[in-house]
Amino acid sequence: MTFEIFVPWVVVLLIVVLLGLFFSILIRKNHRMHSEYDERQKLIRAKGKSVGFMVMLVYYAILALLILFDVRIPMYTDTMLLVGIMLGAGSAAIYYSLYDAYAGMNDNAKRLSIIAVAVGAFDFFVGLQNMMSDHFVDSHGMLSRGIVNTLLGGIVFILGMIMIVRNWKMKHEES
Amino acid sequence: MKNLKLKAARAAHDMSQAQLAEAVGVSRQTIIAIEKGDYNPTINLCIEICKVLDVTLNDLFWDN
Repeated sequence: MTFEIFVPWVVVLLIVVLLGLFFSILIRKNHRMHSEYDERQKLIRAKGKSVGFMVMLVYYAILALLILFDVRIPMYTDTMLLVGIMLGAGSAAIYYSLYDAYAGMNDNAKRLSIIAVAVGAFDFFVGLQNMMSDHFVDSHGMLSRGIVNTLLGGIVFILGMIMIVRNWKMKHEES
Repeated sequence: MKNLKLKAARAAHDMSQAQLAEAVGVSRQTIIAIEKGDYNPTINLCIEICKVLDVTLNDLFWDN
């Protein structure tokens, strides 16, 4: 990545982080926008965060070892770093949904799951399309950046499907 | 271990899992998990459940 592309990229990233912080503070202050979790869900979510963090750590450890042994990784640095974050966050989210702790008590779990499946599928195919337009591997022999979208779409799609299956299973259990 | 006493007490009050969950202030999945024995509720939650079902802690959560 050349310096001319790097600087605006960092600026955009900073703006996104600041916007994210701003909205998270806004949501924190507005209690109606909070998802409410009961004690069991809070426990699961705490455990899920550890799981996500461990997955991220393992990924970066493997990456570090590969770099240490001069193994050529056909991915740009920014892509490698983003994939680690996505795997960590995705693992945590999937853990939450496996134990019915993704949607809060005041959330519409059915609507969330349908949105997740739709958005995940859309993102997956957009990412795949980006990769195909770059022929998966670009002229520098590096994996296309579309892998980020594809992976994220896949994770969100899996998350949505798990929620749909869990909701269906719960509906058919004795009430 | 499954908590069949809770299930029986709930049935005696003609309450669904969703109704008990709402009365107690937890999710339905939590009530399911307690009945299946997959989750040990805190003492506060146990007390809340007993209040709603009008039973004692011993009746629901003590192994005789």
